[in-house]
Amino acid sequence: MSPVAALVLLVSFAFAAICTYCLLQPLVGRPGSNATRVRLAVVSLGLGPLVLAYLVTAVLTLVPGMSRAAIISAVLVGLTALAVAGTWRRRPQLTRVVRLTLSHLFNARAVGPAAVTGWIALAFVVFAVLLLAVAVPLADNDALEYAASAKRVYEAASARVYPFVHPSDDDGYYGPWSHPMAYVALQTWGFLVQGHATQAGVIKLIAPYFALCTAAAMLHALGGARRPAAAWGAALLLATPAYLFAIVQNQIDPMRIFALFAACLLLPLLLRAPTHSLRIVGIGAVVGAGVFCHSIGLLGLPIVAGLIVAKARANIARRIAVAGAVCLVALTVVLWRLVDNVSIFGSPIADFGAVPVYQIPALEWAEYFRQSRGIATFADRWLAGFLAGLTRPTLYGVTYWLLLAALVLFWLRWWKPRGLLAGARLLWSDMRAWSIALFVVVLFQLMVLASLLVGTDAFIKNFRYMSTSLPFVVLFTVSVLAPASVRWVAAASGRSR
Amino acid sequence: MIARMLRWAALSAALTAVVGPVAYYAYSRLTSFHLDSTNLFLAESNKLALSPLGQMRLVATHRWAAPDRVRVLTLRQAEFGFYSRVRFISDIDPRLVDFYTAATLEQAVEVLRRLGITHVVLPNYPTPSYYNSYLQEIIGRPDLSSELADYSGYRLFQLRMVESGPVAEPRARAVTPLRGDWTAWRADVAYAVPPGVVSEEPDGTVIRSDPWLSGSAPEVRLTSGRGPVELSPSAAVDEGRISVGLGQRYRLQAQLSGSGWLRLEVHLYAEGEPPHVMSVWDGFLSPRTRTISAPFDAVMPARRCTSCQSAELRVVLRLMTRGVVRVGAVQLAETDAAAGGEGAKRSAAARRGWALRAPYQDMVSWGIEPANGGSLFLRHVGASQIALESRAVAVSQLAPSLRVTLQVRGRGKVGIELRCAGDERPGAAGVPEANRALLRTLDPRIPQQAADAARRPAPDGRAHDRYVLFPLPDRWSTITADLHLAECAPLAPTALIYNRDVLPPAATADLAWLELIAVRVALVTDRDPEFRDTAEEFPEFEVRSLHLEVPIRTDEMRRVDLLGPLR
Repeated sequence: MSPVAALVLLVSFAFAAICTYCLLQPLVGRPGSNATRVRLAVVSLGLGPLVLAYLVTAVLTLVPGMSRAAIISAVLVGLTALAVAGTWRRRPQLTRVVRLTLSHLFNARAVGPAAVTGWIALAFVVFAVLLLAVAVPLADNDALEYAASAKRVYEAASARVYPFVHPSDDDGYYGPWSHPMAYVALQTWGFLVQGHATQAGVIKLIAPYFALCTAAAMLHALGGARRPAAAWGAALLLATPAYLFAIVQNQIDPMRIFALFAACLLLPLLLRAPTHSLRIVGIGAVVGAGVFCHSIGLLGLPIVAGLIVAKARANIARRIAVAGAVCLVALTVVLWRLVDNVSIFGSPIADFGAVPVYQIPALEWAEYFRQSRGIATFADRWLAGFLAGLTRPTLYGVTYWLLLAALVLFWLRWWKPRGLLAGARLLWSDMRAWSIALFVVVLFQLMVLASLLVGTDAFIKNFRYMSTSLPFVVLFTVSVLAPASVRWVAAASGRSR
Repeated sequence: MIARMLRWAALSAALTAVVGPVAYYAYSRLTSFHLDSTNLFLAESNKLALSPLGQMRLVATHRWAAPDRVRVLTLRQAEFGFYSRVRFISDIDPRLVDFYTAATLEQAVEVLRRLGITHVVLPNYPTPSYYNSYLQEIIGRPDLSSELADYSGYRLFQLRMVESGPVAEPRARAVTPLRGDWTAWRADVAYAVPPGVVSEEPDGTVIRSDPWLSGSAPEVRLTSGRGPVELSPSAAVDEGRISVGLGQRYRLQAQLSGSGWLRLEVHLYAEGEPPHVMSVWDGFLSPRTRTISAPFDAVMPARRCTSCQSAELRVVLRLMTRGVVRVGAVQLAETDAAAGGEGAKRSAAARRGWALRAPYQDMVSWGIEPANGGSLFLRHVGASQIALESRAVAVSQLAPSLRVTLQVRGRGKVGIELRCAGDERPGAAGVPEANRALLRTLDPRIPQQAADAARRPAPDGRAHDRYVLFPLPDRWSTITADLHLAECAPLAPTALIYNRDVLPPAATADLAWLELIAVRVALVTDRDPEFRDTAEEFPEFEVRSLHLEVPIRTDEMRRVDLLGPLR
């Protein structure tokens, strides 16, 4: 990949992040504290490229066939317009925000042995991820199919060629994908930046970029660089094999997982929006960003709706109404895709039903999918499926075992002393990051449980669904385990005496 | 103090637990692309050419003869979708619905013909669009398709029917039902049959693999006949053994139902050879009873038994995942067609004493092409040095030089050399490594202007020791080369030399054994230092006649036909 193109891509992401920060800052209520600004900035790092992707999709859908320079200019003008719209009433104080955020994420002040080893681990994992992204050519099935889609969108300079359900004699590519276009649009942007689509080039940086944004959000959610365990949390997330595979091989998931993580981190801020409609639009748009990433992003709807119902401060009917409205707004974000899907496939989300060849009984595709998935027995469903985090270390490493330890410690140290009911009530409405994380982990496992009880294999058929809640698992685990372990290590090194 | 050390140890352990798996994964991913410090930052296209992954090598293949007339039916679209330079069609393309629903093979072939499909790419895992459709029949029949390449299980086939007429179904001549014993075993406990794995039921033999966790299912195998599968049926004293004629096409028909991933294999056993394994069907079963009808060519690339006319056969069913296989009637039908696939060409060449020396055998297509009056051909993809070695011919060590005459055409560059044939008995000294690749080609009379460019002096700088890599003429040309004899060890009377041509008694009468050595003629294509992974740089050649002139008396020469049958 050309270093210049890579730099230009990253600069465009940074610009999009700044514009997104400007756009979001009127939504978070009264001129916030420094903590609010930092959280908004960290989350904007990843939401920015998603806004960029949305604009690329919009430009390529509304005015197909423009020249490369025209598309890039149109997108940049769009980003600038969004930034201006956001800063109309309130000045963003960008330099201050950048300084605050960098200091929050990287200025460790005093470092003990726990922090030093944590930063070493994080540095190594980040190095490995970047090395693999830069050095290894694009070679995995899913990643190549996304890139093949983006290549055609780029060559036609039009998003209307998507999805690819009418293969021709010249180009036999058949891609009946009903997913919203975020990843394809970002890859198209990458091709626009580097000026060709014959090799993958800079588009290999997109998945690692979102992984690093998630890692930065994790650093932030764990209290920033001042906390000795924060780097450990970020490293643990990136090093969990399922997530590592997602970054390096499947490539789509870091983006949608980031979007959900970002939505949950922003929720407490967005709930304080100045007006009721801004509140609904703000949360809905951020959740919609997750749906825009991939159809699995729909999982974010029940999760965020659940969080609103549990943690917002209003009467229960109003909370349910807000949750419902948020889901509607989120779906509106991808409305064009859903409508387009209905006109092409006959349903808003098309899976195997969209492929005529899969419907031929003689080929027995259903039997093939069912058997090759290897989910047949009780043990398959519950032990290797529901409890995958504990029983499949090649996918989840030690992460879920640490979660188990964290749950035990949490029960002993936090919940039991407060009493069962009082503790539950506190936890239910608590808005701190670790509490949100616990809520999401439990809700997600309940969704898996419900799906298994209903009798579908939807959640357990591959590890991609299960890894949705991974950042929340890590956030809760490290939040709970960190204080005790850090104290233990510091005592040994003699600093706390 | 101890507490402090303990806590540092805990931190190091945590560091290792997080960093270790990442390092391992990063390392294995880099090595899976053959990436190291020398090529880490090469251009991406070069890395793709270096990649040993089958699907990547397939796409990096530039051997698509006329790209505008090629259309590949691929059962794995991703690589073609992004990297390919040829036209392709995916196996789930709606235009193929007619192909999958065709009532007869003729109709199915007609759909492919209409779509202009010339090649088929199969991945290394089973896909219903292959094993549940006529594609399986088309790929299995060498009169309809031929295998061009096999890269770690990713295979490329060329369809023949594009130019041919109707698809004649070869008639069955003789049908042999497989009766008698079946032997079952679990692959993880050699030849032990745990209870519940195999049972005889009214509708046939049933094998099952049903562990409580599907992921832990061991492979269960069922083989026709008695005894371990490593032994031929006759060695295992099996009375119901079945023999097949080598060079003939057969059709295996099996009634199967059940579930799970089943691999159906045919193992061929010839005297003194390790069993030759052919996979004839690979897919997931369903409760519906189906009759699998898989054509296969009874050919084996024999190295030792070049005169074998028949081989013994076992049918092996491998249940790869959790599942149940009900085996109904299994029979073997001999068809009236002769074998014609790649395997048949290779075994025809092997029967004439030719062997391939190549680091990656699956990158090379070679053998005797019956179409051009039995010419020897070689095509390969890749940049490594490979050689075709002829039979061993006994010659006098005192002969000044040997003359090789060949009619050849092709493209790229090829070298001719003499190599010592070593004693291959276990424990024999063999051929010293230095003499294994003697590159002693002296002044072949080839187009002079081209030869000069290709010549290089040998390391020792001697004038007559030249490694001549000459450019191949694109029309049939006769080339004569005088080759200096290699310094080979004298031939021991009891030496075991594969593919050895026996001298007629009259010729050996006045030659002392001690003066004899055994040599082979080798046709070598070398790595081109300018290799850039383009089609023109992969050598390929075809040899119509190849003779070695051996002096048997001071004034008498004998011409050995290296393409003729072995004596």
